[in-house]
Amino acid sequence: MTQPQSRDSVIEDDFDELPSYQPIVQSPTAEVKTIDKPWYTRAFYWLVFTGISSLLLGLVVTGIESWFNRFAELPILSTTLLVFNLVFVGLLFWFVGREVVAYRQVSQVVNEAQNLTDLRQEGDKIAITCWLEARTKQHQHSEVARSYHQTFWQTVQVHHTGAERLELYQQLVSQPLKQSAEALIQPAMLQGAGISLLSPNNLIQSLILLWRSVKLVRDIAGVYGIRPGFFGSIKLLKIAIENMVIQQGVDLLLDAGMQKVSQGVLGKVVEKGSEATTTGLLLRRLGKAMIRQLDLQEPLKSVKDS
Amino acid sequence: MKKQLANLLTSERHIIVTGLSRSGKSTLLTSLLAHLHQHADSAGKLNRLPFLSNLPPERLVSAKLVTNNDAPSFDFDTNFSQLQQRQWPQATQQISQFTLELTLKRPHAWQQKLLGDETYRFIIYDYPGEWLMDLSLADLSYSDWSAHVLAQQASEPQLSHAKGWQTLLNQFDFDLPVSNLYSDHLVHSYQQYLQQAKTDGISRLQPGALLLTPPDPYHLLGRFCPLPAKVLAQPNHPWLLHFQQRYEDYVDDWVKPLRDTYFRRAEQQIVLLDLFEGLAFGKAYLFEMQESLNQLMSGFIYGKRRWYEKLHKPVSIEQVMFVASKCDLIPVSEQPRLLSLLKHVSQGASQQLSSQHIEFEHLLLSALVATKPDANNPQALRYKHADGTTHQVEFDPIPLRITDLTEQAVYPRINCLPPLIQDVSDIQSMHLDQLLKRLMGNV
Repeated sequence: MTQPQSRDSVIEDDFDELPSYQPIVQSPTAEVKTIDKPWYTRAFYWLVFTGISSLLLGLVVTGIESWFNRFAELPILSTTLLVFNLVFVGLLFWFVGREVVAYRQVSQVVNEAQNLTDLRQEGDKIAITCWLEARTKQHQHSEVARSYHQTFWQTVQVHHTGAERLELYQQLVSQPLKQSAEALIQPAMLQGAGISLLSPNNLIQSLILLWRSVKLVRDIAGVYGIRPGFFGSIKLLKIAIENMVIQQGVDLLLDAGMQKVSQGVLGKVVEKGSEATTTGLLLRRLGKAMIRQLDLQEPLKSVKDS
Repeated sequence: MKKQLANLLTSERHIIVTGLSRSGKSTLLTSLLAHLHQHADSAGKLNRLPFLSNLPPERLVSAKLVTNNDAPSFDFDTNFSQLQQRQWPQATQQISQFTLELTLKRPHAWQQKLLGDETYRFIIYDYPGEWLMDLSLADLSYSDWSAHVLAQQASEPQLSHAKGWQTLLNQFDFDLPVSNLYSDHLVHSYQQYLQQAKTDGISRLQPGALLLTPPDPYHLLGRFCPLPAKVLAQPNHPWLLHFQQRYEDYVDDWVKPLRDTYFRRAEQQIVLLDLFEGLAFGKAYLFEMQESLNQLMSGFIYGKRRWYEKLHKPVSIEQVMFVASKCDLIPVSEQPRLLSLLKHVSQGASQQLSSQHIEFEHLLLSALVATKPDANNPQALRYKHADGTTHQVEFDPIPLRITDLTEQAVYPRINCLPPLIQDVSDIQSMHLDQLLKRLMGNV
């Protein structure tokens, strides 16, 4: 080592007026590592995008062509139809765009645990901070998540290492968010069980369970600041659909079993009680599974332990 | 009944903060108290000690100082008011202690109903760092000590400082009859050497009494100095007998009681090191710091006691934390390197502890952050110089090991003022919560 250089100089600024913080992200080039998708997935997305774009463009071209052909004959009607056509295509664009954004958001959230595990292993403070900032942005639509994130960023200090920041995030954001999400499960369980108890037939009961499952999924996603959209909800509802299958199976078994066991009032009460309990438990399972998808407690806990 | 039961279950721990002079003990204790006071009031507010997860604000009912008759109380108010006037706490002149009493709600409601609040007492000592090096005297005879000191002075960094004093010692006529006049002349010259060496960053200096007078009635103790080998070789030499008597009086009347009353009651130890002092003076000083640390550790008793052994076995230190203080004096990006240097400096002491299966850790700490980072340059810091101007200092990388430094390499010494402090909430620290978390363990 050569003689260390002391580069101590007097500066104009007043120390007491200087900010005591340092920008947490030190390098604008630092980005969170993204996982490249395989070629066939990219090809599929490209096909879907081209197909939808062609369809919408075709609708616009057809509308304009009809307007040209019919304008001399029916000027008001053809113009009105063209306007309707353009509005319809515009709405379709907006709807598809919103769905794509929401779907990407859901996919991103579902991949977070893997991203976090990679980041934790690398231990790069800047990359971790970028990831945390991205999470804050992702959660901005949820009021409750926003307040936890605010507390987190007020607490984190410039000297905290990447692992320490993740530990703080677990303590100040992830854990309270999980508790907020878990608080939604019990009312859903009670509602689902109550409806099951009172519902006159299995079809209505299944539809209500589907509605309650979708609502629970959307509510929990809302706590994490996600607006899943239709396709995003479908992606998240894969578990809910499994629930439906299990519920139908249980119904069939109960029908067969209970009819044999008893035809009386007591039998009916037991049957309904069992259905209500199953519905409640399935909703609980759905809620827990959904939280597991969105929550990062496990990978963050490993940070704490390591 | 509930209160009596709670008293019976009160847990008490003695903690010794072991740091040489100027290592920042008083600032650490002042900051620690300020933070804990705030922590007790912080339920629902911003948590300034976020890693103190074993002491969440929701459980902490109160954190207060309790007076104790064993030693004078730590003067938090004076130290804090000095910081408010932008002065670092005065060098500690006397031993003092504080008992920090933490009252906590129990984790389970049924325990709270049955036993009430739980109380932990942490008894922490502050003392002049100059006295610390004297602890090893208790295990050395005067002749051994004398030979040891002269051996230290034969090499750098002490050699160049000790030249004047050694010339006097070599020229002194030890055939002269022993008298207080001659004796005081020798001791005075030795004292001057010690004081100059201390100013220049040397830490292995004994006896501490010549650097800092013990309080009354001990002020006459410690008036001795080493003697040359030719005198030590004659067991009945009057000069040897004279200084031997003074040495033994000092050890018996001052060092041993001090050690047994305060230093040997601790179960946990914080070893505070100011590595910047060493870096500012160079490689030889860092090696000397390493030696001092090894010597210092020999003054304490370490050992694990099982729960049933606590009833009959004497108290011993079971947990040690090596802490590099003032870590805000380098940019955050350099802190991992400072931690590595700390591990290297404390290597010998760590090996001693490992062989005795004692738990130890290395931490960086800034009890009071007095610098600010430069937003555009991660290798630079800004601070308020003692002359009132604002400075910016840029650093070369801190060495990972002492051996990475060249003989002449020295790092800039930052002579900064404390930050602007109006109330306790203005005190900012680095890693204090990590230190407290480890000290408090499973409260």
